[in-house]
Amino acid sequence: MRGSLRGVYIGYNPIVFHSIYGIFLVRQPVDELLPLTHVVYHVLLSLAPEPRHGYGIIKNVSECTGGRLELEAGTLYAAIRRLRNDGLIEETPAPADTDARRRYYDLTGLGRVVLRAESERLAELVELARAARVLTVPSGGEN
Amino acid sequence: MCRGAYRRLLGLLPADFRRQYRDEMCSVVEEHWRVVRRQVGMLGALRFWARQAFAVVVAAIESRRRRPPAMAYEASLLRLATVQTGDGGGSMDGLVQDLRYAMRTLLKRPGFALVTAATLGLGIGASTTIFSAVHAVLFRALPYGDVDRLVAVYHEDIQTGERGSGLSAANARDLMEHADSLTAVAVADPYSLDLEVEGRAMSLRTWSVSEGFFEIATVTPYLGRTFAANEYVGDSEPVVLVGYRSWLNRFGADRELVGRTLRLDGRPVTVVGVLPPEFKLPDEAELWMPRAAQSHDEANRAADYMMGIARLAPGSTRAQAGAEVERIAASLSEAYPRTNTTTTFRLVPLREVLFGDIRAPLLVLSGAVGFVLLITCANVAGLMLARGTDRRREYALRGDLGASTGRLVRHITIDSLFLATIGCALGIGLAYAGIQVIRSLGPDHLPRIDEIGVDGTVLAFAVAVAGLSALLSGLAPSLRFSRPDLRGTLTDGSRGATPGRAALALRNAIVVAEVGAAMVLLVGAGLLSKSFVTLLDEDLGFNPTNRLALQVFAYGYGEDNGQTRAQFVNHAID
Repeated sequence: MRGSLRGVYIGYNPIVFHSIYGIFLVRQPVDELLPLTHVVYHVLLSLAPEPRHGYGIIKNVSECTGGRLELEAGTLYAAIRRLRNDGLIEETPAPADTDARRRYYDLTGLGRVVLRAESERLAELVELARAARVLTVPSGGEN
Repeated sequence: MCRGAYRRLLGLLPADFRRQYRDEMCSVVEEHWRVVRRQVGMLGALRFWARQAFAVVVAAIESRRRRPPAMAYEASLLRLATVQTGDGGGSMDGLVQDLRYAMRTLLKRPGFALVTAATLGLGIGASTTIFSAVHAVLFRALPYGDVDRLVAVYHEDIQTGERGSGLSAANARDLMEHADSLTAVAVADPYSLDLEVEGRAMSLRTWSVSEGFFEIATVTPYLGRTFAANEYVGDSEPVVLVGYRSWLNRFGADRELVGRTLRLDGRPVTVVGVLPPEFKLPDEAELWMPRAAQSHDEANRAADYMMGIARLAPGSTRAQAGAEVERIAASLSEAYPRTNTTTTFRLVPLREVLFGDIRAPLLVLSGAVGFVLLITCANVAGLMLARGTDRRREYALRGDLGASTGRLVRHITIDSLFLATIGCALGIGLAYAGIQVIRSLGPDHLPRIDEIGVDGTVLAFAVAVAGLSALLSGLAPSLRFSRPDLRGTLTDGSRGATPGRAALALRNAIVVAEVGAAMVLLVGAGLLSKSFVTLLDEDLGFNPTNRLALQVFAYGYGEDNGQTRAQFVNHAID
């Protein structure tokens, strides 16, 4: 009994750690993770509305970017592996009416926080660009 | 096929990566491919798979780099230990493991990998270049049926033993009639035909061949046919065969040429066929024409300037045939005492006749290149030894963890094989360049120079040489580092980079021996190149400076008259 408790306590499990303490203690780990690479950012972004499987992510990223970013499986899974190790995404059960053999991924609490922080950082950059009159259109079209 | 290759390529990824995602990646790529396939052509498909493969390689390198360096060494040792105790190191899995380990350690020292691969590439490139020349000139199958049963027939003087320059037409006819061990005997008479094009005459090199010549050579024409038996008769309609190169260059590869009439030596001659590209018998010419028996043949029995060619009959050897033609020569010398008293016949294998004078220089050159390759191997072995000395501690630790001698040898061999593969690719590139250089150098010395090129055999040779050099250069480090008495090295000095006194002495000895061997090989290579040059610069027996050879053909079209020709020549000399 005591042994198993020690096991859980000593073993650093990023998912458990961040989902329990993440909301309060995130500032520091989040800063370390930023800025995100554009591949990682797009993967997180495509998981924001709903859990997706690997090919679903590829398809969604391609649609969102108008075909400008076509992820290869190697690139995607290198990112997925890193994101899981860092506790930003996790595996989630497949939705009821889908192919059960596929693995679905979802954002963790930390992942959502990191995505938000990166988006804010990018928004600040865009504001800076506006202030410097780099962007002529005040709002809308550009992102 | 692509999917299988992709799955194998995923073997490059670190083990945990593979375990977790390999199947998923395969199915994702497959799904993606099913969608993409409908939209793209051949080129798009190629691009798709190339991008997928590239991404895997990048992921493999990146996911390794991200691991903290301090952990990597211990982790790899732990992994090795589990593999070594787990499956005994004999399975394919262990082999892939070794391959990935070799790639990883080499990527860590790119300078070493680069120098070694470049050294190997030079050696392999040089030997492949020379091999391609030797192969094209000496060893490639000649297109003349079973060429080892083809012989050239020469006159030989019984008293002096001197070989004549060929065979006379009348003697060829008698041999043909009486020799049972030869299926046929024919002669090729050097000739020249003037082709008239728009009022200007051009002299075309021609072989006038007697009946049976093309049957002996077993040639299938590229276009049309060879000569029929009735075309070898004196008053038959004149016909001619065109050589392939002449057909390309002079007649613009015109397929309609067969059946057309050319004006040769002032009379119309019908083209009956085009010979295949590789047909160069007795050597390359523009035209081949049938040679009818002529009235002066009998009188010119001693005129041995024609090339005699024969094919051994099935079941008879060259020795038997040689004995038989000598017997026939003896009876001919009784029948024709004026011309044949001292004449006998000699059979020489055709291959020797065609390539006899170039064979020795080429083999000498191959020897020189072999030495260069050995130098390369010695150098690479030296480099690997130096690196192996750095990795001594690792090998010792592997031994202590239970790696068998065989496993360590395999690991070292795979290291050098990996380098040799890169070297092989470099070498083949170099060979392509080298062949261009050979072709641009001296076509005078090499027969069939235009056939030198990189083909399957040459590629196989390059790969074999690469494999051999990998084994050779891996041999020394294998012997040095796989011995079980290395255990001491773990305690001998705290770090692997500072070897003990004994190890230092050994390393010095290795370096001295290696430099010595390289010197000997270098001197050998130098001597061989010198003798190659000497072989090519044979003494002609006269001073060729400011001397000119000139050949003049004077025909009196229509009214051929010896006197007019003599007058013409005398006039020209004056």
